[in-house]
Amino acid sequence: MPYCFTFNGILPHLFNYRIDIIMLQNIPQFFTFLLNGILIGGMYSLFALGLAVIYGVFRVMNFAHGEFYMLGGYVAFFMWSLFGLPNLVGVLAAVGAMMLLGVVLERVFVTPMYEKGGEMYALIITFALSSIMWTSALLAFGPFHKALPYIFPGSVEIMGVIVGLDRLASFTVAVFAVAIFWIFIYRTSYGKAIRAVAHDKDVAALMGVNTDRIQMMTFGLAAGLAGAAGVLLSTTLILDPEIGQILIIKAFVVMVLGGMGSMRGALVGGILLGVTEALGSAYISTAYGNTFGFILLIVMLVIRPSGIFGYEMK
Amino acid sequence: MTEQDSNTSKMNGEVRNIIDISRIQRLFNRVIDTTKTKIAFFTLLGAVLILAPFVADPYALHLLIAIFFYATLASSWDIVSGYTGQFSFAHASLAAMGAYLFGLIAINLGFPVPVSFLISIGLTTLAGTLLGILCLRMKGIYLSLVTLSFAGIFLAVVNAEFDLTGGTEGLPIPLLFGTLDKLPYYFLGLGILVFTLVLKQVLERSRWGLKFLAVREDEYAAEIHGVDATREKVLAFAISTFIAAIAGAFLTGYIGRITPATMDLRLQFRIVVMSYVGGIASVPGAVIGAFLMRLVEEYARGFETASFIVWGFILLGVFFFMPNGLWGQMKEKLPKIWKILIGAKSE
Repeated sequence: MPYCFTFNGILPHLFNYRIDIIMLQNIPQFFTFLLNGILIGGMYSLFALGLAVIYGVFRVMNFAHGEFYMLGGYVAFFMWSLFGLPNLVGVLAAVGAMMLLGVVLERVFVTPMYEKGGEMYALIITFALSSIMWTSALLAFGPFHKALPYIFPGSVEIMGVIVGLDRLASFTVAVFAVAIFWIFIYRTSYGKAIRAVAHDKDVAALMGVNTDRIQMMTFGLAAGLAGAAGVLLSTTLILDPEIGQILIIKAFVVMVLGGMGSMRGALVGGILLGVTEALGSAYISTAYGNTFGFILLIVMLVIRPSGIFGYEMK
Repeated sequence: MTEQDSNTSKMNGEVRNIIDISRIQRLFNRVIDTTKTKIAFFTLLGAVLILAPFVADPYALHLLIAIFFYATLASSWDIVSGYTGQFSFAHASLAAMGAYLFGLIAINLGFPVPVSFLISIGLTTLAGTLLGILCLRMKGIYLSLVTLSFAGIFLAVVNAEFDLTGGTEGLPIPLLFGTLDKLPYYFLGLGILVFTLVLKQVLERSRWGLKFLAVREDEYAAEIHGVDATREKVLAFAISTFIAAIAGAFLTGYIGRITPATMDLRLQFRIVVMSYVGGIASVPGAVIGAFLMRLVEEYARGFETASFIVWGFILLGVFFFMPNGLWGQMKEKLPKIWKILIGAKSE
């Protein structure tokens, strides 16, 4: 019989294990996977939050967001390798650097192009910027992975559930960052201005909001969030110049899952993606780890294209 | 019948023949305007292309074959993205699918090469059509995301099932003609490209093409005017995938091996640039773009990574300053030369 005729012969790596047996036999293991998924998903959420905010204000999918992640990671790496600064300081440095970069890019490229041709132009601009950034990083830093130092090495075991301390710490920092951002958006006047511009730019301008400055600020903040995610997640995932491309696709999946432009959607979608990937990799197949996000995306687009929270402007 | 009647019927027979011929001629003229200058131009071009493999060196031939491939693939992308406005990221993967299926069927199932070729193209076209059906209710970025997901899933499957597909090392593919001699591949590639271009020309000049463009511009308005947008979109995907699969299977049948890196998203990016530079939604656009870009890439041999930055800038530039691409610019800025090439009598 030809090799490829049986289903498991065609795709032998698709179903490594039998799900029911494994899941039920080892409940703490299930929670380990689940928790890991939530922790990583939290960082996806941090990353996608910035993208959601940019979408809300600019109505543009920022293709270059992944590159902010990547560059943030590299900033922290160099802070550590050149100056020996610990990772937490690296986070602050990355956030600062990315905020600056975001503001500059927004002023120089995004707004002028947006004014020239609207959303399509801005989309293509971010796409081109993304190619330019990751290719430049590839030339500058080389194609090999870099590894960031752990914040707290080691792992902890609670009731049989094993959790890496570093991931827990990264997740905590991410939650902290999201909380600060959330307070900023919902409790300060600048935040209110951002929400107003996202809702309706022209009316906000009529109400006396300096839309230029708000756009600048939004892009910068979102880039900062992406940079933070870059540092935090790079201790777990690899860091190389092309990681931005992979992350941006994950962020798109998160956005579609949660609903375009919805901040809550970005948070929930990120966790959902993280959990799906973790459980899928663990129970269905490790080799297909990345595809579970895609499959979830397609399922979501067929069932409920507007995402979990629908299309909402905060 | 009297002699007169038979004469009349003979005459009627002749008239009928004349009408039949002129119907074909009319169809031909509707699709391709023929003028003496144009006939001369294309005859010259044809002669050059046909004689080239006998006088050129093998590397130039290899380059030309590659250009045929890129032009065909870019043209196929153009059908679905330029004409119906469904910006697809899946074409490089569809070509790869055609190639992988060709290799797998030929090796594992042992069918002869031409049969495997046809089967793989059929299966890939089916997959592409299903993708098109999946994308029916989606617009803009969602559609692009789904096609991107397809590409991602395909790449993951290829990498994961390395016992079957050879993983990063790749799959050896039987050569289409069993020889390393470039001649048959050159003519096959040229034939495929000509077929694609004729298809696009028919598409552009016929009611069919008008329907595609209508769907691109405004789907609802098109539906009001009786264009079945669903059918046209899926049809666009089907035709486009068919050509992409042929291109993919052809190229790997020539090279002899396919790896995931050969036809990945970088290829997709390059064919997008080729199409935009040459001119989307036009017949010669993809060919011009493929030709120019491949030549430039030859000079940028050691700088492939850096060249992507340049392509990024070029895509930006084209998008802002020349959205119709080079062909569109020629139409606007050099109408006389354009008229010669088009052979337009009435413009």
